[in-house]
Amino acid sequence: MRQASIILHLWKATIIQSMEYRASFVFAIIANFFDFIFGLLQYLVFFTAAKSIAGWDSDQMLVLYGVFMLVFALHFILLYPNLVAMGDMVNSGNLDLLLTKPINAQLVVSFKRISLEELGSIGTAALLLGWQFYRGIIVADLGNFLLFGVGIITSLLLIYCMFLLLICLAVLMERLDNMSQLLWSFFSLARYPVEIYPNRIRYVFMSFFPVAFIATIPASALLGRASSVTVWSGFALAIVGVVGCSWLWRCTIKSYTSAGG
Amino acid sequence: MFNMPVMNEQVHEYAIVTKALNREFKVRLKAEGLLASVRNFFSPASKTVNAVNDLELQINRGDIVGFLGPNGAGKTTTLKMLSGLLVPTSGSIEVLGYTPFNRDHAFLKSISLVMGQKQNLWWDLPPVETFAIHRQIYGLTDAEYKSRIDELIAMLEIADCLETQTRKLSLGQRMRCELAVSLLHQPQILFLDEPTIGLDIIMQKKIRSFLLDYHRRFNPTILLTSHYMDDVAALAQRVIVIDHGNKVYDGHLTDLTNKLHPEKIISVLLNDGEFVCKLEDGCRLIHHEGQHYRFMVSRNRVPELAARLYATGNIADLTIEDPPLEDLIGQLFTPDSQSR
Ligand SMILES: Nc1ncnc2c1ncn2[C@@H]1O[C@H](COP(=O)(O)OP(=O)(O)OP(=O)(O)O)[C@@H](O)[C@H]1O
Ligand SMILES: [Mg+2]
Repeated sequence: MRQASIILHLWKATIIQSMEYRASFVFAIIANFFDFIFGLLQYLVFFTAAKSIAGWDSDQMLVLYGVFMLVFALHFILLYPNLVAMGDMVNSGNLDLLLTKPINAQLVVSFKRISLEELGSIGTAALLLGWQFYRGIIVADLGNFLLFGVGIITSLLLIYCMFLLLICLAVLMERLDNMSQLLWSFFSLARYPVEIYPNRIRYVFMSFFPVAFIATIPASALLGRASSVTVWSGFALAIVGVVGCSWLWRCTIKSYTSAGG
Repeated sequence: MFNMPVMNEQVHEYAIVTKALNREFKVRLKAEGLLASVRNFFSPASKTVNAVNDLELQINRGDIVGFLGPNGAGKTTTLKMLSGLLVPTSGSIEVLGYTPFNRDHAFLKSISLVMGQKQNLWWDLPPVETFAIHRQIYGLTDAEYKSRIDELIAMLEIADCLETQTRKLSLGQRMRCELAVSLLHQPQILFLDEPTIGLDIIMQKKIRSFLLDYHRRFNPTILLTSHYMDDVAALAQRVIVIDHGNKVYDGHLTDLTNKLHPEKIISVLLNDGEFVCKLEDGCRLIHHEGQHYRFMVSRNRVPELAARLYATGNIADLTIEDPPLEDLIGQLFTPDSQSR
C-alpha cells in the first residue's frame, strides 16, 4: 500500500513536470491522435482491395486494431517513459540513490514516470471497440468478456516482461540507446493477426516469443473465437515470465557496478 | 574546536565492521586505431582493478570519520559497498548489524548516502516535491515530517529555495536541499561522498558547520570523503587514509597532519622586484618563477610570517594552503613515518 502511494506521488511529480513543457505536451497529444487516425486509414485502404486477411474480415480487423491500440496506449502511458528514462537513470547516478532507499527498486524503475500523452488513444480505442459492440460485431457474452479481460492482462504482463528485459540490459550495458525502438518493432509484429504468418513462425509467436498474446488472442476472445485453453495457458506463460524477469532484475542489480563518483 | 561528544569507553558495539573487504572491477581496455578497435570489439581485452583491498574497518557509533585518499583510491567504492549499492567481491561487512547488500528496508531506513555529484532532487520540480516523495518513502507521519523539515530548513537556511525549481537553484542551494532530503529520515549512519565538491569556500564552511551542528543534535555516525583537507580537519577526529585500495593510515587527524606534515605552503605574488627577506628557520623556498614564490613554512610560524610578508607592502597576492593530499599520502610510505 505504501509502495502504491509512493508511485502515485511519483506520478504526480511527472505530471507536474510534463506540464512544465506545456507546448510539447499539447503537441504530443495531437500528434498521437493523428497517428491513430492514420493507422485506421491504413486498414480502411487495405480493405478496399481485399475482403479479408487470414480469416479476419474488415470488421474483425477493426476490433483487432482497437485492442492493439488499447494495449499500445497503456504501454505508452505506463512503461514507455520509464524505458526512455532508464539510460539516464543509470548514467546520472539516480539508480544508485534509488537503490539506497527502502523501497522496491523494480517497482520504481518500472513505474516512476507516467505519460498522459496517449490518454486520448485509450479513449479512441474504447470508442472504436464500443462502436463495434454497438454494431453487433462484438457480442455481449460474459464468457467472452472474461476471456478478453484475462487476455488483456496477459498481454500487459508480457509487454512488461519485454520491458523488464530491456531495463536489465540497459543496466548491464550501462548504455543502450533506442531500446524503445526494439519494443516498438515487437509491437509492429503484433499489429496484424498472427494467422498471416507461416505455421512455424506462428508457433514461435505463441510460445517463447509470444507476439500472438499481445493483440490477436485478446481480440479473438472478444470475438468469441479464442479457446479458453489458449487464453489461460497464455496467462500462465505471462506469470512465469514476470516471475522470471523479476528474478533477472535482482541478478542484474547484484552485478550492477555503479560507475562514477 | 571539535564539538564532539566524548566517546563512551564502555560502548563497544561498532556501527561499521568490515573484514578482509575486497572489491574488484573488470575494466575493458580501449584499443587504439581502427583495426585494433574492431578486434577488441569481438574479443575485448580487459584487466582487473582491485579498487578495495583487504580493508579492515571498525567504526564506533556516533563517530565522524574522514576518509582520505588520492583519486581512484577506492573511497567511493567503499562507501558504495557500505551502503549496499555494490556487492563485495569477497570479505564481510556489517553495518548496524545488517549485511548491506541484502538491502533490508530496516537497514536502508537507517542510512543515507549523499554524493556530491549525484542528486535526489527532481530537476524540473521545486525541492518541496522531492521532500514530499521522500516523506512517503520513509513513511513519516505528518507531525514528524513537519517538525523535521522545519528544523532542517532553519539549520540549512533554505527557506527561500523550497518553491523554486531545482534547475534554477545555485549549486550551493541545491547541495543544501540535497542534504535536507537525505536527513529527513534521521539516519543513524550518514555516508557523505565529497559533499562540498565544487562549492566556494564560504559555502563549504556553511556545510561544515551545519554538519557539526547536526551531529551535535542527533549524533549519527558519519563517514565522509573529501578532497578538501579543511573539511576533514573541521569535522573528523579520526581519519582513514587509503591508497590503491589499501588502508595506509588509521588514527587521529591531528597526529597525521602534525607529525607527517607539520608545514603549510605560502604562495606570494610580488608587485615588483625580487624577494629580499632572508629565509629563516622553518621556512624554505620550494618554487620560484618570476614574481611568484612558494614557501614551505612550519605550521606554527604561518601567521607571523604571513603578517611580515604583508608588512613589506610589496605583496600583490598571498595564499596559504595545505600541501596537496597526494604529497601527504606519499609521505606515509617514507621509512620515517612507517615506523610509527
Ligand atoms: N564501475 C566501475 N567500473 C570499473 N572500475 C571502477 C568502477 N568504479 C570504480 N572503479 C575503479 O576503482 C578504483 C577506485 O575508484 P573509486 O571511485 O572508489 O575512487 P575514489 O577514491 O572515490 O576516487 P576519487 O577521489 O577520484 O573520487 C578506480 O581505479 C576506478 O577506476
Ligand atoms: Mg570518489
